Amino acid sequence: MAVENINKDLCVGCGECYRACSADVIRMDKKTGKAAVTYPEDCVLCAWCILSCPVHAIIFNGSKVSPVFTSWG
Amino acid sequence: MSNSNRREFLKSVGQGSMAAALYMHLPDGAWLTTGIDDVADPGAASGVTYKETKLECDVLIIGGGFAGEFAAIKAKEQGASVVLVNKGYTGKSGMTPSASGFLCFNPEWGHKFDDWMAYTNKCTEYVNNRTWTEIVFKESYPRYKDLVSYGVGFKMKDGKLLKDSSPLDPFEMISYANNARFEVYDPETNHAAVLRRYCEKIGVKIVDRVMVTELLKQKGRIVGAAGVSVDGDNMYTFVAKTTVMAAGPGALKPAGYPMLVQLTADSEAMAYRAGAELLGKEFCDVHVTRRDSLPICARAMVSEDNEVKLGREKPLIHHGFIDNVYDVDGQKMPDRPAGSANYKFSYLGPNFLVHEGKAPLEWKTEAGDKEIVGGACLGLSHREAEGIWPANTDCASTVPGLYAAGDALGSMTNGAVYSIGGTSSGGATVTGARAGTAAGKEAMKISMPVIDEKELARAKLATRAPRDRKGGYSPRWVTQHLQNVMMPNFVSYIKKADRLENALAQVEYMQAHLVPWLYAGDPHELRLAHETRNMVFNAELVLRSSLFRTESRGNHYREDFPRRDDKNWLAWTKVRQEQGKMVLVKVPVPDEWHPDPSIPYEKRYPFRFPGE
Ligand SMILES: Cc1cc2nc3c(=O)[nH]c(=O)nc-3n(C[C@H](O)[C@H](O)[C@H](O)COP(=O)(O)OP(=O)(O)OC[C@H]3O[C@@H](n4cnc5c(N)ncnc54)[C@H](O)[C@@H]3O)c2cc1C
Ligand code: SF4
Ligand code: SF4
Repeated sequence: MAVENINKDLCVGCGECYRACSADVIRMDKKTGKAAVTYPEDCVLCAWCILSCPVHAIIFNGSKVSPVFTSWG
Repeated sequence: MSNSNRREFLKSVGQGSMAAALYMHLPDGAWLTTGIDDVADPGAASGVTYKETKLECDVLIIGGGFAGEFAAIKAKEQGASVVLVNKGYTGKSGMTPSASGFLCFNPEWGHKFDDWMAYTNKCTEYVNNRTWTEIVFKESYPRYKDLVSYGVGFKMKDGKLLKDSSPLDPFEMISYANNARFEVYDPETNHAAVLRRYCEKIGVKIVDRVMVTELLKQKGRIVGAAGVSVDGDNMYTFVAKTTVMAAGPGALKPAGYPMLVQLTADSEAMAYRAGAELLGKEFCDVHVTRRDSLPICARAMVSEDNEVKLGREKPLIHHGFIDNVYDVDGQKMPDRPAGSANYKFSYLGPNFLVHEGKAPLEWKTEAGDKEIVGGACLGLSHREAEGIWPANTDCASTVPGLYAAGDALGSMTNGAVYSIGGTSSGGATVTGARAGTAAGKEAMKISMPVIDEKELARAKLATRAPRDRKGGYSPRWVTQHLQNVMMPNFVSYIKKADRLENALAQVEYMQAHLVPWLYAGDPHELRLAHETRNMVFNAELVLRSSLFRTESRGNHYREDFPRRDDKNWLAWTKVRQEQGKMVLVKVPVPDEWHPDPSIPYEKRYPFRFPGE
């Protein structure tokens, strides 16, 4: 995983990260009004979400763990 | 975002206000309709009911980067009604937002046209399309003026435009390329964001986050497209008099050049399925990146304490030409391709070293030695080369009603090697403007097509198929398998017939046995399924084109044919579909563009390949 989590206390729900993510990792959670890391396995570490967040709410982990490769799936 | 920009931003969104007040700024689709616990629910997929949205316009633009935005603006200037549809969010998607240098050929700045052409012809190893190279040079300055007039920020110093000058010296020419530098990180003046605002201002209808999946074709003509929302179950039909394909190039979601996660050869695959011809897939883009900080190639940088910074704050690995690289024996790779005939200077240099067993390659920086890794642009050809075959200089494809622009257009401006930095953004604006103008003009002369319901039903069925299946292969698994086949240095970069054929056998299997059973559990995965389908096609294109060109040239190297073969291969590889099969055709470069045969080979081609 690369983008790990979003700090709900900091997030102002502006949606900039949702718009910035080419990989469609981040969606907005209607229940909380905040951004939610929804498809973390598709994160490609491009950092555009982090660079576009006005309040530094996005928690990042620089390492990406590859999924286990199986014979079918 | 700089601190001051952050403050401005917070002011504009009302710092501290309730999140609810900001809901208005987001489209409906932004919200998870079911809550995050319910994504990709296996088995819930079949029998999905789709909402239907139908839009009619004179000109449909597919893609929202430089090319799509310019095409939209110029089509609008012709009086056309314009819809721009984008898989991502226009102004933040594709490669466009990260480009930093814009090619500006301007005689008033002392540029000499003949020098630029001579340099480019030689650097691209004589398979550039000189007509397009000339058009891109000559129209880059007018497009620069357009960008300034729309409000795009260019960096200034002491009131003067900041330009990156790279000497055009690999072949001992005294000339300079000028890249006008964008204000990439200022959200107010970032070129992609400004172009979006300008499009909205002049009345272009922008449809974000809808993936176009199929072109609609009837009576031999493209009459629009079908697509689907990535946020929810909403099927889109676009009916248009003319269509501009500007959905970027084709890659295989490599690590290290992360924008490419979105650019999965959708342009080429959709156009090919609709009967268009393609070219240029044997020349590979050779960007490398850093093992410990993959995104550095895309300008971001992860520090040891996991902080993300802009790459510009530290030395940046970005191009195949890398300074201060050492192989495992401590031998330094020459810094620049200046006037030498050593093969290690060539774009493929690091790949040759690795192939010789000289890995790991270390990049020595102030912050210590960093290991570099290859394949950052897997599946991509260098910019302004690969793509849809242009039937004329209006960017028309060979299928009536369909135009192509930007990275989707096979202009071959850059032939076998990327020649001058900034030609991608320069080229994408120039071809976008040309395609938009021509598509707008044509649309104003013809009437709105009436869609044949059978054709529409076909396109919709193809679009929703992975979601209608009860089960199948996950697109992520197929993508991973595809990357495993294509990623090795000895397949995509250092090529040889037996290895290419071996990879092709696997890719053909995927085409026949995995792609038809791709399964999507939710709209996000439906996007992935279509991307995977297009990427498998892209891999086939790369492998077949690489097998077809039985020589080495520029960024295409064959161990079994290690020399340029001017007698047979001053030619382009055109690809088209015949009776469901991929057919490759050699199209000779015009004789008058050939290098002078009296110049000795070593002078014609200063870069040596191993084995020559
Ligand atoms: C990090 C980085 C640095 C770069 N630096 C430079 C530089 O300094 N100078 C330079 O000249 N060039 C540079 N480039 C290259 C340049 O940015 C691109 O060549 C150029 O932006 C291409 O523009 P485009 O409009 O053709 O494609 P893109 O900007 O890639 O746009 C493609 C669009 O198509 C959309 N799309 C894709 N598939 C679909 C679909 N199925 N349906 C609907 N929409 C779709 C995407 O969302 C996107 O909006 C750089 C690129 C990167 C990534
Ligand atoms: S780092 Fe890039 S891919 Fe990952 S969540 Fe952020 S924007 Fe998306
Ligand atoms: S950009 Fe930051 S503040 Fe805005 S929604 Fe995303 S995490 Fe929240």
